[in-house]
Amino acid sequence: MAENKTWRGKTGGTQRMQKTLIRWFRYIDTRLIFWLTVPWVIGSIIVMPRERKAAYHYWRRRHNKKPLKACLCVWKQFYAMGHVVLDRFAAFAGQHFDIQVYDENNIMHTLQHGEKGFVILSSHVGNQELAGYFVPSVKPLHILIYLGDTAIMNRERERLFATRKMFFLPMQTDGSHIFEMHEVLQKGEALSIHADRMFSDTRTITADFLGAKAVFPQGPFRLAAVEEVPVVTMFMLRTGHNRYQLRIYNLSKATDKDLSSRQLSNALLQRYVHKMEQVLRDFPEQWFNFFEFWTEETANAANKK
Amino acid sequence: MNHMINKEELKNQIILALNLEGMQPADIDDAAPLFGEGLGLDSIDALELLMVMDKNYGIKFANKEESKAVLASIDTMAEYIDNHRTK
Repeated sequence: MAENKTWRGKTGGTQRMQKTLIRWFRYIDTRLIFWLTVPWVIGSIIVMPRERKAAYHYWRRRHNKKPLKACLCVWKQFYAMGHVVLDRFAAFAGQHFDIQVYDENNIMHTLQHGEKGFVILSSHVGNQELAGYFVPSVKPLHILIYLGDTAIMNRERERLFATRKMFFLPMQTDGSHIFEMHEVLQKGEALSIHADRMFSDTRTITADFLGAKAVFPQGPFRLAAVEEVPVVTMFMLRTGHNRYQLRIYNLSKATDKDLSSRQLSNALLQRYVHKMEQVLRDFPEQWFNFFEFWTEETANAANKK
Repeated sequence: MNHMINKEELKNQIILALNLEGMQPADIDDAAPLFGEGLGLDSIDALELLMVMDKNYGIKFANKEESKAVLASIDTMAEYIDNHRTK
């Protein structure tokens, strides 16, 4: 049910742990710190049975892995998650990353230099936060966030943001952030929204995703359609130690102007899902939604409660 | 001079813009709240209504507080359109 899919936007660990990690990344060779991932992965797999089970279902049902292979893949997925989280702290500590950029038809460059505002529909595939820090940025970028993270994480983000034109746009319980998002786009600036997580009482829309029905929030797609602005999606995919591939895809088409806002909203969802499927075929272990994402699994989990 | 807004016409525009399938203008009470317990519209619906007011009547809002008050009901929308429309 929807409650399983809501998100509080919080990075794991206490504030003291997070502060220590950032300090370590400043002074210690990062490869040593990455050994921390191993006990973290073991610990997480043990103490997070619901997440482990959801990951297992992801591999069994969405990638048709045999039981033993699926277990191994769950380990790889948690391990990849550990690296991605640590890379976030490495970025806070000022680490350098090699990033190979694939910008479909030079769309990001075009939008960054155009007059119109645009929407980035992001997801929990790869290291989305890092993408925000390293995507070529000419226009101010506003990132819709749930203000549930620790003061340390938010302070470090703000420090990194200060060097770039990036701003938090906090979600409000009365939905009034929609008007601020509208203003951002009207000013011709960029807006980034997660389109694969629900934030309580969200209206939903269903799509075929990796061979089964999955539920997505309507809001990001409807907003982009109502505003009639260009839409892209991007994925920051880890390819090695301090190495990433940034893939940017255009989700808008010239024929979109002939569609009603409802039709366009549905079309954007289909294109977003299609690109996510494409990326997950290449990087299946970088899927970081550790809950029953698909309708069938969600219904089964609810019935067992 | 601009003519007074017809509330039925406004309701039709809202039904069309928000794709409220199966709903007729008569189903919308002029004084009932459009959001929450009324029509149950959400904040993106509100944004669509602001677009309708801009496109059809040339009305732009300076701040979200004002727009929230205007979008409270059909009555408040109609009154505001009558006083502020530019087309």
